[in-house]
Amino acid sequence: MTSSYIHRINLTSRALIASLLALLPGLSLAENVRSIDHSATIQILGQTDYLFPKEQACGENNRISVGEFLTDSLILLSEDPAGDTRVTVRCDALKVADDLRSFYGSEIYPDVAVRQLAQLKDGTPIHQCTVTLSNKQEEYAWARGIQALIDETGERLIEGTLRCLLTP
Amino acid sequence: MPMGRADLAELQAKLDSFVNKRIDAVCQSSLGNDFNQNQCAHFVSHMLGYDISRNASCKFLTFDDSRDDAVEGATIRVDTIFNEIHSSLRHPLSNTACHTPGLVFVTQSRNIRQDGRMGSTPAKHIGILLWPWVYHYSNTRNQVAKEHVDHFKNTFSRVYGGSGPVVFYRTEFLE
Repeated sequence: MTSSYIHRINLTSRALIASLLALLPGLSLAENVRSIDHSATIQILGQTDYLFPKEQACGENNRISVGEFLTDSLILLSEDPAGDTRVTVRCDALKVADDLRSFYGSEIYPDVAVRQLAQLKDGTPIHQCTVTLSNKQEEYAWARGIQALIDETGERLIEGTLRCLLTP
Repeated sequence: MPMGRADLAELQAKLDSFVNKRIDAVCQSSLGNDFNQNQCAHFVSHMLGYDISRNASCKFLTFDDSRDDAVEGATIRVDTIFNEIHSSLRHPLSNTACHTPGLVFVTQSRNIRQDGRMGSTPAKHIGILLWPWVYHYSNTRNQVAKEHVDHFKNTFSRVYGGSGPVVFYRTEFLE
């Protein structure tokens, strides 16, 4: 990360990102994670001003922002008994093609996702990244994640492809 | 939806065959290979063929999953399944009656809204009730468990009880 990058983050987001980055020493990487700056991935999510579609059922209300989702996740974590807490960043290296556009053409994504992907040429390298915050203690286990397509530099995400992921 | 006796025997045999097995014996998706995640709804859904919503399906968690022919879709969220069941078919689970086969749910009371729907608070779990057994995915042992319903209730009353009252429901299977 660079200082100039940090400067583009507002104070609320910076606090949020700092909380997530503080968990990174316990980072657990999936085997197929490609070379990408995971701190940057978290930062770019933390500074994204975006409302998840209601079809994704990300919160108790119909719509919730990325920042609210991340904040809620950290609040849940603070209320939980101490457990095995992890931040996992998984990025799959993909190329833009019709089948990828089709994936983002489903009803859980806004129409803009397909339009944004249509602007990218076939074969353009891209990452599907998922940042997951999870906690597990005995039978009490949960995970909340955010997924999006992010360009090869790891600095620009395609907002229409943002999605929350919750288990259980 | 009530099951016939033959269907129940088939289901029980299927469930018994997965006892003590990990989730990757059930599902080859990215979630099925992530042993840090809660697999309770994922397991139940694969056993019963529930794939309610693309948003909560293991088949569509990643693009790679969606292209993997070995991955069959199954619902991964407890609240998605619970809220799909009509409210008239959800009943408190008591220990004193021999209940008909179905699903068993547990969550914190605060996670049940005024309209009876379940919220997304993390403390929630699901199993399959074939009296007196509950088949569920034990996240502690990271394998499928077959436990007496009393044991199941005691465990989750303790684990979820730290933040307030805990509620158990039984329901019929989804159609």
